[in-house]
Amino acid sequence: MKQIYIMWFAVVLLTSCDTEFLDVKSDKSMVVPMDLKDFRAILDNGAMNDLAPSIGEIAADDYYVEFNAWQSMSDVASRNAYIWLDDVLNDKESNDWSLGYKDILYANTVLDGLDKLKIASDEANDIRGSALFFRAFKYFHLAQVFCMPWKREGNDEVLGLPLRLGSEVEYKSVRSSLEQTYQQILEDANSALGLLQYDNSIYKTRPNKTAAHALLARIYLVMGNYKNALKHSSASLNKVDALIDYNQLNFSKFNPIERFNSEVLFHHRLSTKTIWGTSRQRIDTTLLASYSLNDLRRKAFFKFRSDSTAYFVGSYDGSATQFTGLACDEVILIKAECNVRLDNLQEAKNDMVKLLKNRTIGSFDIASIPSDKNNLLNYILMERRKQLVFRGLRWMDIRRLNALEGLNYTIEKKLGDRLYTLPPNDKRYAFLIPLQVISQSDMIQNQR
Amino acid sequence: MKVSFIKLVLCCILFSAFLFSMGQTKTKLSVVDILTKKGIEKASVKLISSDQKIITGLTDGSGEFIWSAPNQRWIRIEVTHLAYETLYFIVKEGTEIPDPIELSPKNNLINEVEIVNTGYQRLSKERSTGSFSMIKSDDLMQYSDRNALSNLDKLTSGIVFDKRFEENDGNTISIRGRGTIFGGTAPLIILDDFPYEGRIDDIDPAIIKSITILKDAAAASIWGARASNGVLVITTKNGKGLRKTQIFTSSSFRLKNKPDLQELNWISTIDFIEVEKFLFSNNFYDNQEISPTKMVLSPVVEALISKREGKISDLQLGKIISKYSTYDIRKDMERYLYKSEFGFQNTVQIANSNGINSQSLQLGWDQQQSHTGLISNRYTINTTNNFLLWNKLQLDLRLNYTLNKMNAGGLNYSDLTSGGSKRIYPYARLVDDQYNNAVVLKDYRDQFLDESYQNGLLDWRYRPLDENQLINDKSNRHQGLSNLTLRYPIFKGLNIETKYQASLYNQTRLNLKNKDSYYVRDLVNRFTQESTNGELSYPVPYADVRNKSIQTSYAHYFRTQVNYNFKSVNHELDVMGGYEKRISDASNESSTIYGFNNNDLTFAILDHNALYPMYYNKSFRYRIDNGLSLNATSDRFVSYYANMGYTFKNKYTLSASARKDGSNIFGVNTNQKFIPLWSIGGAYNLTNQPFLAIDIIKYLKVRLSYGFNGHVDNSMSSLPTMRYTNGQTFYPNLNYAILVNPYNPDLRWEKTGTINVGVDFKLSGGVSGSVDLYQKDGTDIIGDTPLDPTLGIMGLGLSYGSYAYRGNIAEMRNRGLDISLNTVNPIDKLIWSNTLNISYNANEVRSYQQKNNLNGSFFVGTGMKVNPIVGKPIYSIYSYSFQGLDEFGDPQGWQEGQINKDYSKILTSTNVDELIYHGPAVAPWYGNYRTRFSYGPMSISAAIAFKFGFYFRRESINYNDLYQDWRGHSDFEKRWQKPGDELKTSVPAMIYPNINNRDLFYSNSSVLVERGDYIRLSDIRYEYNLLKGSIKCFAMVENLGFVYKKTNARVNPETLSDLSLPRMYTLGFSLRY
Repeated sequence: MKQIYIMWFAVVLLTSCDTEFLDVKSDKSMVVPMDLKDFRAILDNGAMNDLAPSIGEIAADDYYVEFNAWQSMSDVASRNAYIWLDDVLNDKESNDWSLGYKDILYANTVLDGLDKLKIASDEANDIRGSALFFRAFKYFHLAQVFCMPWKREGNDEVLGLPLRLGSEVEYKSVRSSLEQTYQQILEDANSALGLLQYDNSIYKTRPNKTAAHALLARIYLVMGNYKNALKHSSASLNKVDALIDYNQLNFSKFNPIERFNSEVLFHHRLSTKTIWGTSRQRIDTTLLASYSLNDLRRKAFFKFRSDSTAYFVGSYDGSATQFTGLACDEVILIKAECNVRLDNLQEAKNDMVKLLKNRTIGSFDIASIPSDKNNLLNYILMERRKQLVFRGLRWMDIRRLNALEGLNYTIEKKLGDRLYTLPPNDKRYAFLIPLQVISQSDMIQNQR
Repeated sequence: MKVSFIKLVLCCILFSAFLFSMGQTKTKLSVVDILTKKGIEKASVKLISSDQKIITGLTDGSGEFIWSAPNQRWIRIEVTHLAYETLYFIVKEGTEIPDPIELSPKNNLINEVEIVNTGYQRLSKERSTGSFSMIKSDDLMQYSDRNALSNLDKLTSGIVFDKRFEENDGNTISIRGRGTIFGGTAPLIILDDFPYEGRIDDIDPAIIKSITILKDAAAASIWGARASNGVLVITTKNGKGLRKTQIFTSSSFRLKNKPDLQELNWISTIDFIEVEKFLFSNNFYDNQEISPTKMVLSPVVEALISKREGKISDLQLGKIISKYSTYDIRKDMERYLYKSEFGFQNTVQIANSNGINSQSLQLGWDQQQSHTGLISNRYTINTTNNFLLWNKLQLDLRLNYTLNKMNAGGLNYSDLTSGGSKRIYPYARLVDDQYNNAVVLKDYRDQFLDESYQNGLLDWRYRPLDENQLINDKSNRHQGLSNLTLRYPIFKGLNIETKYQASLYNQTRLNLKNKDSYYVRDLVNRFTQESTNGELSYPVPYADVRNKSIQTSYAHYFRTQVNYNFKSVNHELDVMGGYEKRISDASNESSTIYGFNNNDLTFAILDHNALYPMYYNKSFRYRIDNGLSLNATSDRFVSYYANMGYTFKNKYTLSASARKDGSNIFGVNTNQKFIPLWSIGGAYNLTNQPFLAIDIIKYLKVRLSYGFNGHVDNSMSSLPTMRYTNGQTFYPNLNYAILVNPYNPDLRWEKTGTINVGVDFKLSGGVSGSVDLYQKDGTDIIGDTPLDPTLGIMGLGLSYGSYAYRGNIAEMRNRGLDISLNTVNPIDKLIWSNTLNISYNANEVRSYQQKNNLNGSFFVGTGMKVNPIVGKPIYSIYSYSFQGLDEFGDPQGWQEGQINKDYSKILTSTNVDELIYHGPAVAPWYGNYRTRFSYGPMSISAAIAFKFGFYFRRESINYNDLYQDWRGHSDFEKRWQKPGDELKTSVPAMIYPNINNRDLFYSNSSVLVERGDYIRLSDIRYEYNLLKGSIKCFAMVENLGFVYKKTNARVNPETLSDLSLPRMYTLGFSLRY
C-alpha cells in the first residue's frame, strides 16, 4: 500500500501546477497589447507614416509621361490611373483603399485598448491624440480619392466613406454621407488637437499639436472654410515657424533636401509608383517654365536631362519617395491664400515674402508680388503649385478649386495621338472603390 | 573485443547449465504449428525465470518439451525453429505460459503474433481493434536512402508523398489524405515512445527496428490533439531478445545520374534572340536604356544598341548574333554545375543479451555528395542498456547522438539568374573560348560596370563558376537524445513505469563570403560614396563577410504510466493510464560581421543607422543591414490519457481510449486549452467459427473503430496580439509593433472523427491481406475567409491575399480505402511472391463560411494552392474556359454566354461557379506493386508505383514573363504566326504592347490542363544470400521511367517538373554474425 501512496503523491505533485505551466508565452516577441508602451509601439510602426493614397497624384498634372514609357509599364494600375480609367485598383490587393483602412485599424486598436485601460495620464492623452490624428489624416486622404469633392452645399447627399471607428471583426461596411465623413475627420482632428501634449515631437513621425493645427488648416482649406483654415494655419505658425533657406542646401546631393528638415511638422510619405521613376516622369513644361532663373527651387527640385526635360528630386523625404506630410511651407501658403480670400492682402503679401525670400538667390524682389486681390490670389495659387510639387496636393487643389471657386479647369493628357481630358467635377474625380471591397461588403460603388 | 564477447557467451552458457542442474519438478509445454495445430519437432525453447534462472532445450517428436525445475515463475519465453518465425514474449505477472505455444511458418507475411507499438504500449496485432501498418527493418533497408521515411509510400498503403512540393522534413507526407485545410500535413513522429521534433534526416535508418503507422482513431487517438495527420511510431533496435552476441555490419554505395537539363522546356536561343529583336524594333528597351537603376540589358540588346549608335556595322552585328545563336546555357550548366550524385552508408552494430540484461552499440556513417556538390556527412552513435536493477525494478537506458556536417554546394539551374526575377539569358556561357570562367550579366548594364571600374570601383562582374571557391558555407548539426525508463511491478498484473527523455539540438551555420565573391564586391560597390570632387569612400569595407546563425533547442518529456493486466481462461483485460508533460524551448539567433579577417579575427564596426545613397542610383538610400536577429519560443504540453482493451474467449475484443491535452497556445483560456479526445473499437475473430468452416479461409478478423483526433496550429491566437520588431523605416532605433492576430475568442483546435471498418484475412494458397474502409470527418477546421479590406485586418501569409480572417470556420471529409494483398507461391524451389498496395482517398470540403459568388481569379491556377470550395477537394484545378484562338492569334474565353476576349472583364467578373472544374490535383488512387522471385540464395524483384485520377496544369508561354523576366517557354515555337494557324495551335501569338491579362487568362485556361495518371517502374533489385542469409549482397536500380503516362506534355506529372527523376544505382553488402 505504501507504494500506492508514493505513486499518488508523485502524480499529485506533477499535476498541481498545470495552469501556470501553460501560461508561459509561446513566442517571446508576441505580446497582447496592454499598456501604454505597447500602444505607443503600435503607432510608431513606420507604416503609419507611409503609403498614403497616390492615385490622385498619378492622375494629376504636374508631370507627364511619353507614350512609349507609358506603354512599356507593367504597373497596370498606374497606367490606367494616369488617364482616369476605371480599372485602377483591382490588380493588386495592397491598394490605396486597403492600406488606408489597415492604418485606421491600427489607430482603432489603440483607441479601443486605451478605453479598456482607463488611464488618464498625459502620456495616455498624447497617445489617444496621436491615434485620433492618424485616423483623421487617413480618412481625409482616402476622401480625396474615393469621394467627390466637398461642395458648398448638398454634401449630405453625396457618398462618403464607410466610417470604421472600432477594431472588432464583426463590422459591416456602409458608406456614410460626405457630410458625415468630413464631420468625423474634423471631430478626430479637433479632439487630437486637444489631447496631444507637445508642440514638437522628438520623432517627426509622431503627431503633435503644431501638426494638428496644420492638418486642420489643410482640411478646412479643402472644405473652403477659409476662416478656420486661417485660424489653424496661424496657430500652427505661432508654435513652429521654420523655413529652410534653400541657399544653404547641398546641391551636390542627388536629393538636395533632407528628410526631417526643420520645415517638417509631421512626416508622411506617398506610396511610390514606377510611373514616377526618374526615367519616365517629365515635369509639366508650363510649370517648369514658371520658375525664374534665380528661383532656387528650380535647382533644388529638378534634375534636367539632355533634352531639357526635367524630373523631380526635391522630395522632403530626401529620397525618391514623395512626401505628403505636413510642413511649414504648406502652412504659410494656406495662410496666405486664406488671408487673400478674407481680404487681408498685406498679410498675404507678408506671408509670401517670408516664404520666397528663402527660395531665391540673392534678395527677393518684393515688388514682383501683385497688389490687387485677384492677381495676388492667382499669384499665391501659382506659388502654391510651384512649392508643393509632388506633395500629393495638386489633385486636391484642382478638385477644390473647380468645385468651390469655379476654376473650370480641365486636365488634359496626350498619349501618342490621343488626347484624354478630365472636365471639372467629372464623376471620375472619385475613383472606383476596389471590386473586391464592393463584392465583400455590398457597398454602393461610385458612379460612372 | 571479440575475446571478451566469447567470454560473455561462455559465462552465459555456464550460468544456464548451472541453473538447469538445479531442476526438481517435471513440467512440460508443447509447441505447435499455428495453422495445422500439429506439434513441431526440434524447436529450441528457452525459459527465463523471475530470479534469472534459464532453461533451454529442444522439443521432441510430438512437439513437447519437458523439463524439471522448482516451481518457478517464468517471465520470458523464446521459441525458435528454422522453418518458423522466432517467438519471443514476456509472460505477464499473474498469467500462465500459454499452452500450446503456436509458431507461424516463415514467409508468413501476415504475422499473427506481430506486436504493434503505439508509443504508449505494445499490443499484439491480433488483439488490436485499430488499423495499423507495420514496416520492418528488412523491408525498410531494401532502400539505401539516408532518409528513413522517404520510401514509405513504396512499402505500404495509405501513405503518399505530394512530390509537387519540395520535401522539407515530412511536410509532403500524408497518411490517409489531408485532414486539415491550412495546417501542416506532417504526421506526428514518435521515436522510441516520445514525439520527435528533430529532423528526419538525423535518424539513421539502420537503427530502426520497425515503423508502425497508426491510421485510425483506435490506433492514434491515444496521441490526442496532435494525431489528426496520423502517427508514425519508430522503434529502434536494442539488444533485447537476442540469444547471443550478434554483430551486424552493412555498407551500401549509391550513384545517381546527372539530371538532363535539355528536358527544361525553355525557349530556344534562336527564338529568344528573335523576340529581343522584335522588342527592340518596338522601342521596348528605350526606357530601360536610360533606367536610373542601370537595369541589366542582355548582350544581344546591347549589340543592337551599338548598331543603332553606329558603333558596329550590320556585318559585325550579324556575326555577334550568329555566334550567340549557337550557345545554350543548359548545356553549360549541365556540364559545369552538375555532377553525378554519390553516397555511401556504413553501419556496425553489436548487441548482446543474457535474457535479462542486454546492451547494444551502433555506429553509422553516411555520406552524400549532391548534384551540385553539397556534401553532407552524418555520424551516429546509439547505445542501449537494459538492466534489472534490484528486486523487480527494470531500467532501460538509451543514448543517441547524431552529428550532421554539411558543406553547401554550388549553384543549381534555378539559382543562376540575371538578377531579380530574371532568368539567365539562354545564350549565356559559364566558360569562354579560352576556358576561363565566363562573365554572366546580372543586375546592372555592362557599360555601367565598365564606367564604374574606370572610376575606381571594384570589378563588378559576375563569374558564376568563381563563386564556388569564394563562398564557404558550412553547418554542423548536433542532436542528442537520452531516454530513461524505470519500470516496477507493484503487485501481480500491475506495474508503474516512468519515462524521461531529454533532447538537445544545436545547429550552427557559418557562411564566410570571401571579399572577392560577387556578393561582397557588389555590396562594397553599391555603398561606395562619391564626394563632389570625385573622391571615393567605402562604408562597407572590402573584406570578408561572415554570417553566423545558431539554432538551439532543448526538450524535456516526462511521463508516468500505470499498466494493469488481468488474464483468465476466457477474459483478458489490459488497462493503462498516464500523465505526460513536455517543455520544448527553442531559440535562434544570427549575426553578420563585416570587414572580417579570418587570420587574426579582426572585424570592422559599421554605421548601420546611416542611410547611404546607392552608387548605381543616388536616389536610392539604404542602410547597411546589421544581420542581427533573435527569436525564442517555448512550447508546453500537458496530457492525461488512458486506454483499455478487453478480449473475451480470444475472439471478441473491445477497446477504448481517452485523452485530454493542454497547451500554452497563446492567449487561449485555460478551459479551452483542454479538449477531450476519445475512441472506441471492436474486433471479432471469425477464424474457426462453425458458420465459416470454409477450407479456403485460414484466418479472418473484422474490426470496427470510431473516435476523435485533434490538430493544433500553434501560430494562432484568440487574443489580439502584436509582435515587437526592430529597425523602423524612419528611426531604426525606435522599437515598434505590428498587429498579428485580430481578436478571435472562439478559437478551438481542429477535430477529426474517424470511422474505420477493416478485415484481416489469410486464405489458402499463400494469399493474405487486409482491407480497410474509412471516413474521416473534420469539424472546427481552421480556414480563411476573405474579408472586406475595409476592416483593415491584414493577416500574415493567408490565402486570399492578406485580407482574410482565420478561424474555425470549415468542415471537411476524407473517404478512403486501403487494400494490401500478399501472395507467396512456391513453385518447386522457386518462390514467387507479390505485394500489392492500393489506396483510395478523396477529400471534400463540407462547409466553409464564405460569401458566394467569389471571384474566380482566387481559384484558377496550378492547383498547388489550397482552394476551399464546398463539395470539392482542397487541391483542385479550375480554369477559364478556352474557346480557341481567333484570327489574330488571341486566345478567346467565354463571358456572359458568348465568346469573348475582354480579358480584364473575364478576370474580374468570372465567378467561381462559372469556372471549369477539372478535378483533383492530388491523385485519389495510388499505390505500389512489387513482385519477387527467389530461387535458393538468389532473389530478384521489381516494383512499380502508380497514381490515377488527377489533373495538373502545364506551363506555357507567358509573354509578360518573356519580355520582362526573360522566362520563355518552348511552346513559343508552336505559337500562332499567321492567319490559319488558329486551326493548328492553341498557343497565342506574340504581340506588342503586351496585355498582361491576356497572359493571365491563357495560363489559367482550360487548354493547359492535362490528366496526370501514370505508372512508373520504380526499381529493380537483385539480391544474393550466402550462409543462410548471414551474408547478403544486393544491386538495385531506381527511377527507371514511366511505363505509362497519360499526358503527352514533356512534364513529369508526379513532380510537375520538366526534369525526369535521374536514374539511381545502389550496391550493398551486409554481414550478420
